[in-house]
Amino acid sequence: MRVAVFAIFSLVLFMAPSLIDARWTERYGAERFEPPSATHLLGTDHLGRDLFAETLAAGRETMLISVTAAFIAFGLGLGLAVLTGLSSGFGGSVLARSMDALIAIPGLIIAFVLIAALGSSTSSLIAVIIVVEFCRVFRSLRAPVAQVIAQPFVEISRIRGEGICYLIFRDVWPNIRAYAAVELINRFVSCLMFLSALSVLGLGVQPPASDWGTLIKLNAAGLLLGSPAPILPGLFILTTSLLALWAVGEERLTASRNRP
Amino acid sequence: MTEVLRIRDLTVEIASSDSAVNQIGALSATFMGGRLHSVIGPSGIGKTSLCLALIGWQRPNLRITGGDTSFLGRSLTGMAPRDRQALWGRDILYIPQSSATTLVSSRGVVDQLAAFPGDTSSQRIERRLLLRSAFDRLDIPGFDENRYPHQYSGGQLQRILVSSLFCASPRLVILDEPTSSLQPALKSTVMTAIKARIQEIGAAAIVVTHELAFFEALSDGAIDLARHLKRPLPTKASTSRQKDRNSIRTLAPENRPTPLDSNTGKSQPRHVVPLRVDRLSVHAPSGRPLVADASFSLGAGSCIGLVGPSGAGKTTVLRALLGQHRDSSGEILVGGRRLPLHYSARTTAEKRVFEYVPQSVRLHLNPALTIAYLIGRRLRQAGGGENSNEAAKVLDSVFLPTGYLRKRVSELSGGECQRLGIALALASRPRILLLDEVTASLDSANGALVVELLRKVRDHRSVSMLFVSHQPDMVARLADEVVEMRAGRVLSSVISVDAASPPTTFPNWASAFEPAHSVRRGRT
Repeated sequence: MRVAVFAIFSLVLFMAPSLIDARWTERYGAERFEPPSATHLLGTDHLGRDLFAETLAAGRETMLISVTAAFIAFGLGLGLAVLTGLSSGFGGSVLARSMDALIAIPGLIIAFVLIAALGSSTSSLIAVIIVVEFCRVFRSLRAPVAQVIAQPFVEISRIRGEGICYLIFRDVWPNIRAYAAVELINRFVSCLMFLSALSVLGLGVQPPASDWGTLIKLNAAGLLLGSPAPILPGLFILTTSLLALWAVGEERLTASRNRP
Repeated sequence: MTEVLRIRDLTVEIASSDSAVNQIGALSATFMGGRLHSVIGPSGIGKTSLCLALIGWQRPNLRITGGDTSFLGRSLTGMAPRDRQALWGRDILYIPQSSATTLVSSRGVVDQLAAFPGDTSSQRIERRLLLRSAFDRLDIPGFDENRYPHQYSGGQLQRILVSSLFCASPRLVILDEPTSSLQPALKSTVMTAIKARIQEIGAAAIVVTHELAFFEALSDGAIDLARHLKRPLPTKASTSRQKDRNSIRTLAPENRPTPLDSNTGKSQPRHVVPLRVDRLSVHAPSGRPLVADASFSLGAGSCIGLVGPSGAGKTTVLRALLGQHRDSSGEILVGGRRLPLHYSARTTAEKRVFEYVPQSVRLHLNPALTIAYLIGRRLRQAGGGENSNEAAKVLDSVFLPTGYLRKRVSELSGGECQRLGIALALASRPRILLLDEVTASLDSANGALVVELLRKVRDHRSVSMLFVSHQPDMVARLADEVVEMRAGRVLSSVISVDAASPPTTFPNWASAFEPAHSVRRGRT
């Protein structure tokens, strides 16, 4: 149920820019940082645009980048965790240690270097976030994967001559599915946070495109004028993360209930 | 003598593993200190669930619908969970059945058993002393090494769990199948020790068991759950299940149609020896020899009974054949061809020569897969039909209802798991079957039927078998030859067995099932 609520919320964020009336986005010419009124439900931003419409438009960009990055980072991390767990050779431990080294470098520093090299386009932002996050997925899924692989039934499968595909998709995957679901949503939240942090610092999405972080940065001056403009995108970031974590809560419950 | 536990008109509903609901009703009993009671009943009826309910732990599949239990005059059912929890582990001790899963695999067993919350350091030292004497008394090696659970055999682990009774002083102890994987001589040693201990500390003991004959003489009272079983609530598969259970008891094994009879072709010529083991030695990672110079050979369609005291290295031989031990030497010849010692070097065909039924099947099956899938996969690998009809037949051959196809391993009881393990092994039609204490957790009726089934498979499909067991009657029924092991060595040369004559006539037979006192002392 909770997962459904979160899914609907994300879908609305994706669809919103196409659903809202085009006239809203064209309402220029108002004063900067106007307070909420009948014409501008939530007031206007630093250029006199309708803030609500702007925030929804930024939501699509934010969700696009963080959802894509979360899925790819998750897939990459999970795949590596399973492969190193099953191979258990020298290569596996080298890979694990290099992941640790990657985690040890602060994410923002990696991002600064990569953005300097790649620029701030949507695809390069996704790539940057994946590089920072996938090693964390690997770290936290390696433990449950290793635990399943140490079970006697996996050894029996090997002795019976089952192939690698059977080991991955029948022995390991069904037994770590619950952990993986929790990890995916947690990773989405940290991707969202990381993207917003980059944008607030001015390294993320660049104007004229905007995400929630960019809106916070651009409207920051409004705080001095008593405008809610910089608060609203922040509230959206908060709501999205909270809804996601709330959904994880249920996932955790079902995971613990299904364990024998 | 004081009254420890009193049950008054207890009625429970147990959703058993076949989605039927068993209603066990009007259970009244009084358990006095120093007395031993046994709870008996057929496999899968809910013996364990019920005993846990007696001490106030309700499994999700159980519902108490009436009556109550009182422990030393206090009602357990009405007690706050917090107070109940304070009793568990101190005043009420539960010794579980599946020893392989109940001990933490990453801690030494002595540390685990001697750890009681809230002990002072002097109590802790005293407990270790008590535990040491219990280890000696129950003939468990390696107290000083504080070994890990995986370093012990199935029978040793069972005794290790029992030994926790000797370092605690509970008022009530529940022993879940405490002797199912022990050989007869050791069984009575253990039970005598348990009886002496409960009389010493004035505790009441409840033993959950399926070995009625053995416990009848020992216990001061018995509760037969089958007799308290009210007609199961008419849900789904319950009626067929009940019929099925009755038929197990009444139908002579010869009359029962076995779907496995169909394949009677003897593909292998008799003169090629399917399995020959030559000077097989296995060492533990610490360098301790587990098996030394074991040699024997197994003919086509014949069965070797591998016997010996608990901890003699019987399971190790099977594991070495499967290639699970890295540090092994010697030769394994299958059909005259040498098999690599470690499984990673074997080809897929070589890997599927053996099919292994482990002592604890539950641990060796993937909990996430349905039984239908597990059976279906083995049938497909063996080149058989893929339809669910075939799978149902396989399940039926071990007397499990067809409704179980949709279930997962975690929903089955201990005995049902064991039978499923045999079904899976048969489904993949191996040339050589390795059976590790397959009848230990079955009641004698089911055990006999399983042995009968294995006999048929052996005769009709000329499958060779290596049958590890501590039950002389089962070995006598199935095995043509007996290899006796003790302290990692094959002691006797092969003894031939004639199924018609009673087991006592073999020269070394009686000694094969005795505890290994002398040998152990000699080594250390």
